[in-house]
Amino acid sequence: MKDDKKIEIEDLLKLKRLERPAESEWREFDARLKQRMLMRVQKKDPVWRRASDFALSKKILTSGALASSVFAAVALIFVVSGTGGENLVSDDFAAVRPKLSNRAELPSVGETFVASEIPIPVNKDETHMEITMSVSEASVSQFASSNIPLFVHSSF
Amino acid sequence: MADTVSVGKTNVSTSADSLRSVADVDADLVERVKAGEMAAFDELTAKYRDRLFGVVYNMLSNKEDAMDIVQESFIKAFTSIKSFRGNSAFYTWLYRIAVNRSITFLKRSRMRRFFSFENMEEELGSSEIVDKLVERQGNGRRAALVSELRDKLNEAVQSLSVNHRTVVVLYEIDGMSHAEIAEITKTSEATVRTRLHYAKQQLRAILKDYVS
Repeated sequence: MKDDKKIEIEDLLKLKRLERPAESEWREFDARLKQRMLMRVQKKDPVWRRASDFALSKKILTSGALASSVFAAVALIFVVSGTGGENLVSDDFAAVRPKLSNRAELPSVGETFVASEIPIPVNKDETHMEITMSVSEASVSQFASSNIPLFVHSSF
Repeated sequence: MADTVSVGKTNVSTSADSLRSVADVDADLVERVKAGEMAAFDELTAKYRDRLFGVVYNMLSNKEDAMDIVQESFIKAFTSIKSFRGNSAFYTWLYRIAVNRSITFLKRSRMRRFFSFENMEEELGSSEIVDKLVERQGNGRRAALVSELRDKLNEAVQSLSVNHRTVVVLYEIDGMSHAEIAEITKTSEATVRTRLHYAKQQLRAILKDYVS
């Protein structure tokens, strides 16, 4: 009899299991959870990242190839139109008027540009480069690692 | 102790075979989630949200905060599912996320208020324990006793330190074993037992008017 009426601390704590939300609150919980999960997934994966991941994963374009393609396209437009490719180059480098150096004899590949040696205060031991390149092969990235300033102007 | 645990609204035996089957079922669901099947994660959510809520609510004693923390725990589990390697049971991992978030929340919130359930009084009112208490009191004031008991229980559990509260909630309210609690809290079973013993001593002192 006495044991029937005995209440332990464990019995009282088990009462706390009765504290549960109603079904309507669970429906609200589920809806809100789905909404938050969608927002989290979208936040994690923005559109620009997905687009760049796609491009790189498919090896469609590397950054260097992209830059050279754009550069070549712009240069070609000016050359074809004949309306200022020369001015563009000469305007850009108006402050510097390099002398034309002797060009190496190369097979004709349309228009060519000559990069001339510009006197700059460098160590005499350094080697300067004279570079000849064609419009179609112009690529900024090829000279990205060069420490020597490259000035390009057209010669027709 | 803890012969059964409730999984949703179903009581599941915690014998070794049953635990393995629960873990196996969860493992299958986890693999399906990793493969991109949202419905599998919905199943896991429905399975554990009730129990998880019970744990978090009794640690925080605030229903709104508990709902928020439980949601955050499921979101965290979902976004980190690929890193779950299956070294422990899924529910152990999920519980650990929820307990850690609750502890972090408690450390950050200084001003807290109890926010309990109105419907609990109705449930408490029909409890055998309350019957015994009313009989012992002898004054027949059932409603007042229920309200008082609910508040006193909350107060008692909240008076425990976070570590002691965690083991009491997981063991006495959620029905987990010492081993499971040790895994969730990254402690030893001996530590769990020690904390539980000390916590119950404290609770008995606070709830002495209700304990025989």
